Amino acid sequence: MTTIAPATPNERDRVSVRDRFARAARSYGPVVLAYVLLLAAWELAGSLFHVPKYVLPAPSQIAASLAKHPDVLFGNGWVTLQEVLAGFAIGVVVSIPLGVAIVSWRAVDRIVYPFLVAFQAVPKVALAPILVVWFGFGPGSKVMLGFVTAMFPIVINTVIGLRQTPVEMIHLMRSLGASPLQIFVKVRLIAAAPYIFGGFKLGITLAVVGAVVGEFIASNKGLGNMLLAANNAFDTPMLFGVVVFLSLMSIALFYLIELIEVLVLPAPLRRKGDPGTGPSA
Amino acid sequence: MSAQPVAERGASSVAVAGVAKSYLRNGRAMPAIAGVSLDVAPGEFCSIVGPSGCGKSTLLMMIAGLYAPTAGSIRVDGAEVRRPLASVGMVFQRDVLLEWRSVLDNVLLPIEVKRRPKQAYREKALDLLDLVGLRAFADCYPEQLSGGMRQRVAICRALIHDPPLLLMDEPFGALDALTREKINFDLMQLTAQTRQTVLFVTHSIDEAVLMSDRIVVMTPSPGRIFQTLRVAFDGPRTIETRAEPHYVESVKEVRDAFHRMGVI
Repeated sequence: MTTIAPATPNERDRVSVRDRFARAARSYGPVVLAYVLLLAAWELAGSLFHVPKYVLPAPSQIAASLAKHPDVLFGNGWVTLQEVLAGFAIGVVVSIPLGVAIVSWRAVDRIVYPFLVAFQAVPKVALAPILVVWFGFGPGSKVMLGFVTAMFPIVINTVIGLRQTPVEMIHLMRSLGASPLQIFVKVRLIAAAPYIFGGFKLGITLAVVGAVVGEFIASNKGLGNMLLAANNAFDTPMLFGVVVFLSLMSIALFYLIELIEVLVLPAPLRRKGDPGTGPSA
Repeated sequence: MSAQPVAERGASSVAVAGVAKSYLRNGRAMPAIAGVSLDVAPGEFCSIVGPSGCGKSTLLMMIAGLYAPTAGSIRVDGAEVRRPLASVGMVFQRDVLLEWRSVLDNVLLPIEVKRRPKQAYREKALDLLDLVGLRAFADCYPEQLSGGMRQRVAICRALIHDPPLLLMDEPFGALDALTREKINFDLMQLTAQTRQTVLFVTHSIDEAVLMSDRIVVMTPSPGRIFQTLRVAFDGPRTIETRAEPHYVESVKEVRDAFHRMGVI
């Protein structure tokens, strides 16, 4: 009974810090360079072809308009951020138990699932006026719009994730005398976690869309409101500036979720879906 | 749940009497198994071979108490099986290891679920891994292992709590021929020490003859027992076993049975 143990795979992963840095520079360098060139071309083209500022402002003009009133920008940004986070939080609190219920009870699946899909087909923008009637002119309606837009991907991904556990694993756990709760906590929920995080990433960016659309319909604060104001004033550089700021916020929220995922999930689940990490044989 | 009827470290007897099972499909009852009776003695290694879809796996799941039979009775150690057996080791075709646990923690899963002290079983888990050549991989994640290595971990997991009955459902069906041969001997070595009862479902006639004390040949769906035959060698089974006349005869006998059924 002798097996020659191959080098444990952990040994492969040891790469020096300098190596890693060089590799990162090699893979990200060209990308960064491409974007810098693009911005430079945009800047030059504006002055070269005399494109008017109210049609396409140059990057420098956009930056200048953003820097003009940072307090206004950040004040409104903070309002929108709060609406987004509240809407997303409600989305998480509602969607995960709903996903669990759909997977656990056939009746819930049959009743709720079609409704959910039908609801998803409704353009959320069309709901905005109704939500304003129900939840008022203030942040409430924006939070609710953020919530209803964020909910769908979280529920769907929770359902898909919870269905990942093979039936054999459930047989095995039952044969060991595991309770349904033990099976859920020790196996199903953890196996579903990467999918649930995928739902979070989609959900939080959709919550931004929801909140801003809500602000478009009726508001006196927030980045959506700022967009409207800039539009009415023909302040195109500000319009672009707010769009850029909004995008940065959305991207930051996306990566915040990814950071939490990396911190919370064990390594093999984190790398799920990454190519080239499977078994070697 | 604290008093278990079955003594740990031992071998179970299994008595299957007139068991039938049908499934509802589109409102009609489809028979999967029709009238199977089978007695397995304590310590016996019994293989069940049969064509795909003959209900071999269903029979195994019923013995484990995971499905209820439509008719007949199943007794393990004289007690009627009505709920999932508390003391059974299970291995499936898929290894179903938990990707987020180390190899060692996967082996210790039954201990954890049964709320026994994990620390007390750590050495035993490492010994089992040692027997299958995987001690060096105890702290690795399953994704770093090949298919054959993963299945050996699954076998260790099935044995960690000393189950008197081991139920294996085509455990090596997904492995390549060489890995399979190696793991056959690994399994025989592991069970030779503990001598628990093994019920082993397989498609491979060679594998069944190599490892079993008895082979049960089942008919195509709905499954019945077509024939049972004993396999007995003098001394332990080795790589040379396949060259023995008794081995060759037994393989031929099982193959003939399939031929007579019209399966091959």
